[in-house]
Amino acid sequence: MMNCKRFLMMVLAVSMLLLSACGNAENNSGAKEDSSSGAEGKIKLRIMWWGAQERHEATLAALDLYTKQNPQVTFEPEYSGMDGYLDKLSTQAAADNAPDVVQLDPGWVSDWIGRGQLAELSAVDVSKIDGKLLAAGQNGDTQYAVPLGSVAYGMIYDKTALEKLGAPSPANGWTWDEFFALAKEVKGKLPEGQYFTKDYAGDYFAYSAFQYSKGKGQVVSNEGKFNIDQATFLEWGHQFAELRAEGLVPPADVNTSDKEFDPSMDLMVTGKIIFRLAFSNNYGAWDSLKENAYALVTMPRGVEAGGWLKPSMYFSVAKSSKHAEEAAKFVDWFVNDPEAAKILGTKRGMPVNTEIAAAIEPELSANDKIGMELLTATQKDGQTFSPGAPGWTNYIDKDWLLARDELSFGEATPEEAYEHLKTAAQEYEK
Amino acid sequence: MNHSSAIKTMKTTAGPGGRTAYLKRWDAPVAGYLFIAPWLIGFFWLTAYPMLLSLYYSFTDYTLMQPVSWTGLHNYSKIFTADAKFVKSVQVTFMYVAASVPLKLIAALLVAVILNKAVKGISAYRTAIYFPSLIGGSIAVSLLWRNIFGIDGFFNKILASFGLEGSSWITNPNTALSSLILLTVWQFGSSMVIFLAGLKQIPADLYEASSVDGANRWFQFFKITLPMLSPTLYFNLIMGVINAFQMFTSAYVITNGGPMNSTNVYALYLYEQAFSRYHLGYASALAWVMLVIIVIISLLIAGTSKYWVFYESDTGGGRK
Repeated sequence: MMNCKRFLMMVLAVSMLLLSACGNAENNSGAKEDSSSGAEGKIKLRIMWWGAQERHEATLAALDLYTKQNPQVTFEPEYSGMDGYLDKLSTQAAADNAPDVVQLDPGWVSDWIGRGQLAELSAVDVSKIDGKLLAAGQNGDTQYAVPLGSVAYGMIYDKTALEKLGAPSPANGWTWDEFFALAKEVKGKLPEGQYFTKDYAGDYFAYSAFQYSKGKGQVVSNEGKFNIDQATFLEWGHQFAELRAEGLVPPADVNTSDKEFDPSMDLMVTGKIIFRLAFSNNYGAWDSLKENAYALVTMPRGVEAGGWLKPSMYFSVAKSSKHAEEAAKFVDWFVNDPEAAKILGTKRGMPVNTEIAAAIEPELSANDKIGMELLTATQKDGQTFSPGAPGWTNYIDKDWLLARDELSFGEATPEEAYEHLKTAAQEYEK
Repeated sequence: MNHSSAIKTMKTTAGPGGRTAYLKRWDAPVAGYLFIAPWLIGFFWLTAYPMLLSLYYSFTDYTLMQPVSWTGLHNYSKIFTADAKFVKSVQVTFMYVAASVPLKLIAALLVAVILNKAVKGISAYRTAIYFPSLIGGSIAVSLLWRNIFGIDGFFNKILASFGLEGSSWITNPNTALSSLILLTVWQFGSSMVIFLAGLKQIPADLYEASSVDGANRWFQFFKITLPMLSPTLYFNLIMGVINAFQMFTSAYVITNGGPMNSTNVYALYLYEQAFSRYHLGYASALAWVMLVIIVIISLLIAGTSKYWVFYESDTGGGRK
């Protein structure tokens, strides 16, 4: 009797287990069928990008329009600021679970292609896109990433604050000497808690601009070789050491706390600094935080221009995507559709499709036009953009960050920081 | 096992005698094992298997995309001989553990003693004080913390009202780790609840007897409460240390390891190697090194326990 009962219970337990397992399997296959049933069935595309609020709003509006035109496609957007974006995306990709459509920085594209994480985008019509912008998204002749816009790298400054100090506004084409001279000029006039600019001593992008302006080329060569010019780096480092000593850049802990576009942490928005580096398409993002306070100016120059035009960012389709075809179709629409372009404006820079760029120019908002001015001014003799050698993303994101902190906290002299960067580069050189 | 053998197994349970030791161990709980099978499958599939796999990967150069090749002890030798960031992260983690665990235990114990009183509405207080622990590990609290201790944060505003000048606590290498420790200490709730349960177990007559003998509160605390509570303290200490070694969320969200790696705790460094640099083999080796470190520390604590942990069943031993 007892045995029988036990046996029954055992059978019950086993069958429950099997049943539940079956149930799961059935559900799974059901879901798969649903999602891969192509044109007839509903498709949900996951899409991920970074940006400020205005880019989020414009992109969401564009997604709505696409769903209206293609009712079978809906979206599951994931959007955030730049902070932590790459970490999140890389982690998802490591788990073979990246969103279908991902926004990538030009600097990352070659790494992603190299690791085989991107799907081919031959279905996207790129015939009206500048070949120079396409190159960074290609491997051989195959397109893996499609550029979304072109932007200029320059500076933004708080013009009202500068006026209050009685200092002249900089003009396009100004030089680094004028930049440092202006800093000295406002010395002593700055109210407490306000500084001239960020402590850029260990900032990869600012220093890149400086080295370019001296005609010394890229910090990392296209062949993947360490190429910091020692004399230039030391000059830059010592200039900033001087600004630091004179209280023209914020103390290190304040400097590190800066978060671009964060209303309470962006040092320029909170009135702590006057100048910072900026991309032309982001003028609107800052203007929305404080209206009519800011102006753009070209990156200071030397014997050569300091600034450059670059493809702002790329869309790619993840290799793991189950809807690669639909995703590619969407990317094609995103860069080539005039209606989409109207909604997106220059939130990702000047549209890459030259016909569309010309078409929307008269309709640009006032803020977009301000960005365009910087773009035009930089275009003249700006540096040629290079996405850089593959595999150096962490050098810029991690090793330079350490150098930045060491310099601003006074833990390393420019000479030592140079040595640290040189040593760290060995891990990346092939 | 097939049916007939299952039935045979069942049959043997009928009679009390004549069973082999093997069957004794296995026959009775078969149904039990089946009932916990979902958990067992979860354990083998989601815990044991990945762990063994990571042990294997730790001896390879696994990078997710390329084929795996065996590199023997290369990862381990690199960790111990050529990785300055590893050394730094171990230092930071030990500092964090050494400061946060005792502070958290002290806070939990003090609050538990205070809450162990029969006051009106005591459960409301208990809930209120336990609450931060419920939400504590979340991203939201970390973001909140970042704002509180930021340059224009709440904490500095309070300091300013006393005429003190604050700093940007979380971006200053001297104070960043401390602000993370403070966040951990604030989440003392679960240890507190365990202490509270331990306090309830202490017989009231011990206190009565000692107060008849004229012992004051402090004396009672050190001579009765602490010794009687030591098994609970031991448990909380071990759990606290293990948790603290694995701290990740707040260091990632609030400071992201910076400034100058001053909050680059071990788990964060491991994450960087695994998911920013895709060095999964190396990260696996780091994980196993961490496991060994945690085991050693736990054993050390266990080794000292006989000198300070007091079990009531030992009373006969004459510890007075």
